[in-house]
Amino acid sequence: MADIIQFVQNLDTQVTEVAWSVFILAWAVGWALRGAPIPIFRVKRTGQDLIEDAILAAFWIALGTTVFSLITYIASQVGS
Amino acid sequence: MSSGYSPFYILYIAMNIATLTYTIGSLFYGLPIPIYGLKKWGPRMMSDAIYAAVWINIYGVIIFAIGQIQSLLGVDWSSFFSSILQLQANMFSALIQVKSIYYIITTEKISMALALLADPLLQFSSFITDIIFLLQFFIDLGEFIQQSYMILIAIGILLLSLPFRIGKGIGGTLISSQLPLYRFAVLPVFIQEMSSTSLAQIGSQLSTITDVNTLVATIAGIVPELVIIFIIIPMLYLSILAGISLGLGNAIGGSSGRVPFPLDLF
Repeated sequence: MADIIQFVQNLDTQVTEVAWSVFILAWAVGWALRGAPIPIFRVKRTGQDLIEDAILAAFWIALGTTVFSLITYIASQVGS
Repeated sequence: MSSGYSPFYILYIAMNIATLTYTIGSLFYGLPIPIYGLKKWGPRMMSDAIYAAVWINIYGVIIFAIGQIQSLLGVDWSSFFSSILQLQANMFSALIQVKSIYYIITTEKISMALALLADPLLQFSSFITDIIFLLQFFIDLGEFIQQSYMILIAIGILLLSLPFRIGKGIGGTLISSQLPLYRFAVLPVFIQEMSSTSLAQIGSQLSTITDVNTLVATIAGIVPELVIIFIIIPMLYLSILAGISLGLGNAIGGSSGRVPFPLDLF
């Protein structure tokens, strides 16, 4: 029975890793677009949006995974 | 639990899946692809995961509240089962009485001519058999609800926590159907409130059948009562419960399930 839990938790860890790397990627892409020497405002605006979203996403990843893993840990302690 | 799946184990899986949903949501949030249809899944799935986590953590409160409301109404499952079983026993004895009267009438040589006239007795006995089946169905339904409402609510919460809102509609329906269906134990009280006669009266009236005279009087007096009590009122009650659970399902799971990609046909 424990293998379902193990599977989902492994999936959690992997998705969290992917989410952090995507955050770094989005951050880099955002700054690259924003600082690009292209005088098109929409492109720069998109870069700005990407940076904002990436920062918010990083904040929510950090907060959410902490809170969720805390609750899961407490639940596992109470459940067993 | 004999199957090895306790409700709390399912909730533990649901909590892990809610974490997964949250992480996928934040992954979508930070995706460097400026497409709104894709990125809107980020905040949506994050709030879905928080919603599911809230449901997981108030599970104990829900179960407690269900039991509490039940005891406020002054009924419990044991009184439900005992009243239905008592009625079933009365029905069985009435069935035996009717059958034996029928065979006495038809096998006596004097009353051979009465055999044709005694045909309604057979119809009445098959009607009683129908009601015995119906009572057995009530007992089975009650046992099913009583034994599995906790695990069904847990499975509903598990479906609620799946990513991309895969099981949101059906999970909400599963949770919301259990909350009113647990009120099925109130059925004997409901019957008593709705009709003029109580179940005990019906039972005692049926058990007085000893000869042809009381039999005819019983058939004439009791058939409409039986139809109302065992067919019309339970159907009314079940449809009220179904209506409540439909409304509750919409409130919990949203109006309908959704596909995990934008689907615009027109």
